[in-house]
Amino acid sequence: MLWPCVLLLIAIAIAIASGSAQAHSSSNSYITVSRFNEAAVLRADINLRDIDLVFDLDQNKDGKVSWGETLAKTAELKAWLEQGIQLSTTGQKCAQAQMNIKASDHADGTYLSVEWTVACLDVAGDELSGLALRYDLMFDQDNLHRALVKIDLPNFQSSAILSPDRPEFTLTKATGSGLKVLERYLLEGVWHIWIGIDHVLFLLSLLILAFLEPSRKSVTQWPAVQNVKTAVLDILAVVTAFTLAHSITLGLTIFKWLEPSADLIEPAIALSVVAAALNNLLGWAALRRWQLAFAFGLVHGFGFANVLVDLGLPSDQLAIALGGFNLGVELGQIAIVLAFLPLAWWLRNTLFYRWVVVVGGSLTIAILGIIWTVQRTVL
Amino acid sequence: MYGHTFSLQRKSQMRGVTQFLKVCFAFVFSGAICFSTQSQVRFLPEESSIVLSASVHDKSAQNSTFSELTKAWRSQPQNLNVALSYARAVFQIGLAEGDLRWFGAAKAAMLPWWKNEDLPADAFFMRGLVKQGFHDFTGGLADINKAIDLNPNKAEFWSWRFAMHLLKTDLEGALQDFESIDRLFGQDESKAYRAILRYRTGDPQTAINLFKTLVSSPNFQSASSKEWLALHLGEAYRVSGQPDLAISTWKKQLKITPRSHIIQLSLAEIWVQEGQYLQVKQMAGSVASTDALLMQYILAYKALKDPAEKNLASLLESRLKSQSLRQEALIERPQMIYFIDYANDPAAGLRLSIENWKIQQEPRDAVLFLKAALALNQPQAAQVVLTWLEKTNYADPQIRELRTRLKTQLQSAQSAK
Repeated sequence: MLWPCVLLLIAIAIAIASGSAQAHSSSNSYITVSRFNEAAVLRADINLRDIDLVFDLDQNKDGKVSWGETLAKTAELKAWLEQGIQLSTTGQKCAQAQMNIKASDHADGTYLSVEWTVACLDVAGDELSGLALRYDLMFDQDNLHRALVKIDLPNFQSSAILSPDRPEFTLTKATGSGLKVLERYLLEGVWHIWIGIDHVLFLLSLLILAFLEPSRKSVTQWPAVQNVKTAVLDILAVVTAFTLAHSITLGLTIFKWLEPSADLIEPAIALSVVAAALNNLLGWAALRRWQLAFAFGLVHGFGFANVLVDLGLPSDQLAIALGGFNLGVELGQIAIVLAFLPLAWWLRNTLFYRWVVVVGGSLTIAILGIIWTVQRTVL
Repeated sequence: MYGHTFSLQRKSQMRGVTQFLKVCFAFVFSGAICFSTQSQVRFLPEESSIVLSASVHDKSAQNSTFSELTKAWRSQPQNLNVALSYARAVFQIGLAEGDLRWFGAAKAAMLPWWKNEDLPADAFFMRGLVKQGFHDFTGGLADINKAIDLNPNKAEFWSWRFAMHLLKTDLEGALQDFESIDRLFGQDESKAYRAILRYRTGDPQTAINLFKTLVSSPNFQSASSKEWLALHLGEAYRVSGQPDLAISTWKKQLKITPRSHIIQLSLAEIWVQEGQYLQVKQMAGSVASTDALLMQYILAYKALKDPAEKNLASLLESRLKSQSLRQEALIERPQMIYFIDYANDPAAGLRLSIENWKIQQEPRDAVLFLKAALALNQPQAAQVVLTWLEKTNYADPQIRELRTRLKTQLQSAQSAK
């Protein structure tokens, strides 16, 4: 009876009185690649508590670990560290020379701080793409361990979190100089608008009526626009209003003037899709479509901002990243419009366009928007 | 049995929490992207300098066989029994020290069986413990349920399930566990659970009496049993409004187990509550304290206007920043205390409280939630806590006072309409 009782008591004592919410921070190590004089330096700071778990540093068994006891394990530490932290460029391992062991004090205790000089990097150069850092020092011992990585070279600044699921970090071609930052975020912007089906459907909802002349009759009886200029100007007004609006809120969020919760924004975006689609069918909105595009574009801008923040922004090149992303979103939109415009122009006189594209399409979009609203609100 | 209305556990909303926090942490991450190890100055200590005050392999500590278990696991990581022994050892270190890294070590040991559905009871149990350690209470409970189905004769399975039911305010579930323990393991064993249920449901005096009878029980004479009794007896005293008796109970226990994190924390919290800040300052020492203890030190130093407060606060801020860089959704209580009681940012504290409350409902979480809502004059936000208090009948002096203030605010808000 005593044995289960003791275990049981330990369990309850902690679970009830402290909960797991009182715990200490999880284990992190800090990895930096930086420039010192003309050389690249790789630095790794690893908590001595973690190293003690692996190496049992307490040689004299007094329950404490001295710096001398740590240094006594230098050879084993060197092999372990160099096997577990590896830099490479274009697939070739970099030689890590002149290992230098010191200590550093962090908020949660003393860390072993190791530095190597890395010969394979031209720190002042512009072509560091293909640089990869592999880290798997503690993952087999502690599944919750993370390495917080910072690359801080003159032409390349970046950061990453390495985990058991993602033990390697590769510097992509677009990371680094201003032009490369612009390129990277521009592509991200294009990609986001293309895979952001809610943004695309919202935009298309506002565009499909651009090829029909408004009248008092049901939308299925609206005549087709005969002058291409009319349709193009209508589209231009919608796209410009949407662009202007989302640029405003994107900027406001990134510069931290406004930071609404994603819990509000995501359902609001879904609702905007419903509103735009239903407006095609019912025509109940007092606003014109370009005005709707502006009003709801403000909401979509917050959504874009969340994506941009998730990507991680280079603090020293924030404006370039923001501009690049926005430009990418615009280019993505233009591509969608260019793909849609000739097809819609060609079909505008048909019943198919009115019944299938306008009515069927708007209904489908509205239903999808309702489903997203429910998902984003309830789940 | 206790005259309370019990209800079933609410469905977990972990997914919503994770999504919300992912965005929050992403914001923090973008702001903190310039974190730097370079700010930590490198130095060369004297060879005799102590760089780690307590080795995990210390044989005088609670687990004298830890090194052997570690070696065995490293040589046979695919052997389930060996992995279970090691996982249990590191998990217990985690409990004793309040350090999440040891839960990560336990998970590493259990990883080959992390998704298995055909496991012995002990393996389900261990996996469940690790999951709940990271606030996956639904997953943890599911595994512990399986462990109990396979082997209902293990008291610790029931004890953890009882604890998790309480944490989720599933009082009916906790009561059923208590009754099963009473039936399977005898009255002496179940008395402890009855006492806990009593002080968590508004009857701390009965709890105190029950705990006192256990003090002389032959089943409660081991060191860990005595520590447990002292912890809960002190807590029952605190809940019943007898802080002096709580303090003396915990102080006495701390002399016996000076490294006990949970006793240290209980004392630090009640000293801060009672304004006995100098006592906390005397306790404060190592920078390697847990976040929870460090937070209490900061509150005490602030009240004392001690210049060391800023250093301690920057230590905690640095730890919170490192945690936010990990972009994980785990909400820690020290983080909430930091925003609500220290950084004068009740809005951030309320946001975290709302999310945390969806996952777990403990008296200390309730206190923080109420404080944040009061500070923001948003009493409606904490309506769920009032409902919880009515449902559980839980009350301690601090909560009683906060509840009264919140009800006044609610009435003012309603009459203003």
